Amino acid sequence: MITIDHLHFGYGRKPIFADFNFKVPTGQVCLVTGINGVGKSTLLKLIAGVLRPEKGTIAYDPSLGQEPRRKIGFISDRLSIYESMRVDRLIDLHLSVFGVGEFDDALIRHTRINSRERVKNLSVGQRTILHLSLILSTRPQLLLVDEVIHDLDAYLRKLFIDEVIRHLDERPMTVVFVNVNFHDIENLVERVVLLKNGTIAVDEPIEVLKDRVKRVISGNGLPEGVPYIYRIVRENLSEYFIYPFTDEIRRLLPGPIDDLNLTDIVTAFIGGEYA
Amino acid sequence: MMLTFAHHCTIIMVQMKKPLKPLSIQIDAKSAVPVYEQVKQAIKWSILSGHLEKGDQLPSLRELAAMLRINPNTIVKVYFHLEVEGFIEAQAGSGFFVKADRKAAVPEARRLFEQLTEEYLARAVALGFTPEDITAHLQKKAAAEPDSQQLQEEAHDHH
Repeated sequence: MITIDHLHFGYGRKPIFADFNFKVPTGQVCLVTGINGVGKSTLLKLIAGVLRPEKGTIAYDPSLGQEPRRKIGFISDRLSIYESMRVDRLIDLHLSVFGVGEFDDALIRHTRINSRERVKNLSVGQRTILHLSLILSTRPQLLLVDEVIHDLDAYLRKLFIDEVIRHLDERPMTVVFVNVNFHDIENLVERVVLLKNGTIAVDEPIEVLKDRVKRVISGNGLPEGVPYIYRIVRENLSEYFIYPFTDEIRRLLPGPIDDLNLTDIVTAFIGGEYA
Repeated sequence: MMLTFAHHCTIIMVQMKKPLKPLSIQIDAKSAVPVYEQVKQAIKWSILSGHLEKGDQLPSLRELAAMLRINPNTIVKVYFHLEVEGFIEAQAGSGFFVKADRKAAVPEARRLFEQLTEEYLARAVALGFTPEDITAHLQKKAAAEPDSQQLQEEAHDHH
């Protein structure tokens, strides 16, 4: 769905991506994460076509046609919706611009948005939900989600994720998440990508990642040859986050070995800055 | 089939669908066992334990993905594997149904039984119980379970 080839991009003189390559197959749900300032949001803007590469190319699946941006739903922190417009008028405008027959109000039904209200008078959560609904109404083939869903409470985040699941079920939709609550998307994500210094530092299917990152708690260090990416030192015990974990390493470790969820795994990578 | 009165009082015949049985599927996000494997095992368990019977309908892909809040691709994979392994079958236009009766599923039940036994034994031995203690205790417990005889016979028939 997305093929990024030899991408170069930076703000001013500071390069963020130099010769960056990345592919996302059609229908995949992918999480791109990493330490602050690593260029996650920039990457999403480049994919969305909001920013242009200095060098290199970003190509989309031919099914997106001559105007790929019409098939891309970009949900970012900058809600580009008309402030002084009434909600119902905005919906009509959006539908006519995108040639969508019907507005899917599954999400806004739950938020008590008054359709005669002006956009600027809505709460942050209501605006976000309106924005999400408008974008999902266009039935994007590629959905890009930046941190915007952070503004929603737990209930609205659940509604949003339920909607994404419904759309995934309905048609092949490729999704790239950036800066989201990992717990929300734990069972949606198929692939996890960690960026560092403008390149891909880690890129694994989620089930492989769960096999390869483990936690061991130890009072006297780790045996020789056990690689870890992050360590939390406590009074008498330390937590070690082991990566890459293998059967060979399992044999070296005498005590219990803990499996980890997505949040624990990403936190360990970021805490140790991927060692 | 049942008779229903619509509000304008004409009698219409409504084909009543058998209600779906609720499934208990717990997903452990921490587990290194992939989500699709966890869901597959849970459905197999429902079939092997007799909660789901031959001919029972399974939830649609959409419904199960929404209920478990997981990627619909995962459910597609689960149903595909269960179909290949002969536990369920797709009926065009109407969904997925349990295919395996308990007898056909005996080898899988056997495998699960071995797994449970190993886990149980390892923990009982770790607590200091001897093989004699364990055997005696199991015999006493099993005698009190009304259902135990049946599965044993089925397993026996299979061999």
